[in-house]
Amino acid sequence: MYWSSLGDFLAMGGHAGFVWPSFALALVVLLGLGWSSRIAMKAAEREHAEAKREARADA
Amino acid sequence: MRDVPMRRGMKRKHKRLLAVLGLVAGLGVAAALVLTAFNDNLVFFHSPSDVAEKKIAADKRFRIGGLVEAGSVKKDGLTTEFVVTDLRHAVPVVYTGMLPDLFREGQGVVANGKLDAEGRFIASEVLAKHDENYMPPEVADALKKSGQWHEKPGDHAKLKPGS
Amino acid sequence: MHALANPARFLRLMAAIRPYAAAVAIIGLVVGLGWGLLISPRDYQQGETVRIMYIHVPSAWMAMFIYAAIAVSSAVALIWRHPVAELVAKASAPVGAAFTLICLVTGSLWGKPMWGTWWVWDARLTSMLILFFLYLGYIALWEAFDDPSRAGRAAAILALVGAVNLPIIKFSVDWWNTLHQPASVLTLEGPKIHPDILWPLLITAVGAQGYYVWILSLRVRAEILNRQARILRFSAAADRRAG
Repeated sequence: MYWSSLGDFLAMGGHAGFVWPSFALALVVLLGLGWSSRIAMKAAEREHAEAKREARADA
Repeated sequence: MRDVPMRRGMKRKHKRLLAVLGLVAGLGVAAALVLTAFNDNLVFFHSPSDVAEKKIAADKRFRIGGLVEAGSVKKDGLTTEFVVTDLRHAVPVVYTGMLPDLFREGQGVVANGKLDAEGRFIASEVLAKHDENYMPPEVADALKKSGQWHEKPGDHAKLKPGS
Repeated sequence: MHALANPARFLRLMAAIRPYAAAVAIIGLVVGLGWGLLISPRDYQQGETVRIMYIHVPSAWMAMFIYAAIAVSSAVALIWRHPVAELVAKASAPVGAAFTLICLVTGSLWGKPMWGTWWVWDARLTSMLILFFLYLGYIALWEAFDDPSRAGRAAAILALVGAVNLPIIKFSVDWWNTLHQPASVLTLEGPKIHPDILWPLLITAVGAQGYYVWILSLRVRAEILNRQARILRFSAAADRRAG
């Protein structure tokens, strides 16, 4: 472990205002993209199943 | 009879392959020409050698980049005087204002401003240029102690005198 | 490659890879960033701000890698009319755009305390911003056409045109005087980064690759299913008209 205290860790040598927003942004963007991709996939699965059902009903 | 459309299909595929290769090659050449033509404008800063050789007009704003010469930094309140060098030529710089964290002797800097009548560079902005080396402080100290520390321009600011 | 042209087979492959990609992503990002934040030392010049590099550098690599993947897939789609290739390219674009955005913003957050400025128009920063706009243009072009085959062709040509930017980004720091530092990891003399800083960087980069494959597997599945649904609805409508 590099840090001697939690306060030191959070302070980031006085540059907390630059380090923490960088990590927060990456976390938010990557989680958000993963979440929205999952939603898009679920929606596509529903749409595909529905189109298949309709095509079968027509036939 | 059946292999006629097949052959035509192959031909079309080759045509598309050639078209894509042609597009990429043509764009590459065009980009290279444009970048060569605008070479001077793409340079973010000029080196002290550029200043010495090109004789930049006294009232023209530009950026100068190089190493802060060791022992040249003189502070008087908020005004800092230092010498920027590319190890071939050197230009004295005068700057009033806050300096970035990484500003120190031997470190690369880029200053924005213009030359005065005496050939001094009056800077309105000074940016520190970081180098490509990353190491813990203890390692840097150990290297300095063992005499393995290389203070050459390639280790610090990327400088291309006369380019 | 022809085996992968079959969408059903490609979907099965993607589904098989997905759990491994997710494991690589989660382990790589947690270990790499945890190491970078908690264990690795500060830099002798940058101090603690060096930790921004653990996000910035892998994001920059991914931004360029994914664009290269899009350009190659687009070429395959244009030449061989490979239906899966153009959907791989389409599904990759939001991931690449996300990494480019992270790269630009974290670079700015690093630049303010270290260089003394949020932004400069030097060749490296400008070419990276152009990459971001290329991603946005590519995504917008897909949406601009009603006919997916025309949209795909236009987007693929844009992707190939924009690929000229990749060597410019990579070599901008060598070709011109830039404020941005030259390459640290991929250099002829070997990395100029101390192993204590390099290792977490590389592990994070592997995690970021895993994340790309993971998200790609989700998005490509969505694209393929949507396109198949569209075809099913079209042929059903055609049948109704005929019958």
